[in-house]
Amino acid sequence: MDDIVDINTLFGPLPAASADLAVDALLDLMQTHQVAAACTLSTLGILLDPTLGNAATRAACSEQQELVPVATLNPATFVGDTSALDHLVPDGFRMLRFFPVEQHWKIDFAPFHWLLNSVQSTGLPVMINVEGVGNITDLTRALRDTDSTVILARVDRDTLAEAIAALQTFPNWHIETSRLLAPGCLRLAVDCVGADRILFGTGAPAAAIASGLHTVRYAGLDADSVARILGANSRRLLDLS
Amino acid sequence: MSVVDVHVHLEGYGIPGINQNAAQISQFMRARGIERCVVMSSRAAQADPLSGNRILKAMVDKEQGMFGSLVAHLNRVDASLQAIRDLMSSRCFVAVSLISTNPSEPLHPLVADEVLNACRRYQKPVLVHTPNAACVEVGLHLAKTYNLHKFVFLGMGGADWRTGIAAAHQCVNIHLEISGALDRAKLPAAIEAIGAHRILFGSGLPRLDPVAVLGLIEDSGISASDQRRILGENAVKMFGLDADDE
Repeated sequence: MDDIVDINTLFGPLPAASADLAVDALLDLMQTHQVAAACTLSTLGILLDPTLGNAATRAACSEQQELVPVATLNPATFVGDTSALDHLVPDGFRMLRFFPVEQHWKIDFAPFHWLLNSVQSTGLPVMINVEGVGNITDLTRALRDTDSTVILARVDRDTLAEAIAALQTFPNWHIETSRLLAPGCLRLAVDCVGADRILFGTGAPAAAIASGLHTVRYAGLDADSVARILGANSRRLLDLS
Repeated sequence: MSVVDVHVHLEGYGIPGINQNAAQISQFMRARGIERCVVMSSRAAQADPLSGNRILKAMVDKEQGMFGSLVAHLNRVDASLQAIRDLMSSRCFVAVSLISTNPSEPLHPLVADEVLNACRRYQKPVLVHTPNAACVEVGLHLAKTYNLHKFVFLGMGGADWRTGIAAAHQCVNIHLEISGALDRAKLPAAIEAIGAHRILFGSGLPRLDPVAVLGLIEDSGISASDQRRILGENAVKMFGLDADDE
């Protein structure tokens, strides 16, 4: 049986969903599909206030060992105060996430570049939603002088070529799978950049974990590649025991 | 359980080995437990309605469990009308798909009128791409105007699936095909609003691997009987697939 880590989950209120995304719904799905760990964050941090959201994330994860806390920040409100960043690692956060579409800013956005440079000192991997053609290319410009560990989330068939091109240049960049649901895309990504750089994510509980799992298992990959994508890579990257 | 994917595209995908011909599609579907599918021609949608539909017919004729949806392109009306006259009476074509140049933009109702009038005599379901609310609204207008036709909203409104459900709630000749946004909330909401008998399984292959949509059904918490209807029973009834198999 594969060790499964879902690197992309959420909980909390989400206007795009018909109901709040309950932690219990996430835990139920994880149990159904035998997902051992899920990296998660409160949607309050995306939609309202990162400080509130990060506190809610810590609270939820402190009660559930299988939930791994992920912090979020909003570059649109960043004016150089880095005091909040100093607490992230001591507070147990394992990753940072950015949501340009949901927070209405662009990848090519000076405060985002400034914030990315500031968070490097934390050593935390950074996961960025990159939907839409051109955003990954913008990101390569923003991060050309850094060696941060970056995870490109929501890469889909329209942006896969762009992601692969970026991964050829940046050895510490990775691809998350929640939108790689078109046939052949996952196999193509593995062939081009290697299975070590692909991380299983779903967007649960708003999205179905089964959709992502089936797509990985029907991708025509060998068992070792599947095991790396489903769990081993995330454990290595986030230092999860 | 009989599984029918009602939304599959032939050709037009950059990754080889998936949908370049009918045999590839059949093999791909069978590997996923999908016995039958309704296929439309990307060549007809993007280049030439007449040759695209003819090629599709030639392929579908030879492939058991595969059926065609004739593509009528609203920017190529003359060629589309010719294809309808030549091919629509064939039993291998079980539906007509209305297409415009950009699938994310709504169809133009005035042009669609001409094509739908030509389709009246065949009384086969009309498939309309509805990746967003604007497309749903035009589809709703057409469904109300041509209320003897059954309409299938492919993608059920995408991320605007609530609009798709609202349209189907207003108009009983609208059926919803569930590819589009893979949001776990949408199937329970659709079943509650319109019942499982007007919901159809489809993937939009190659936009999505059908197993991703099967996963959505699996994780949506809907009953086994509703799953059976959505996965196959509704499509068999709507497109008369059992009759065509005989």
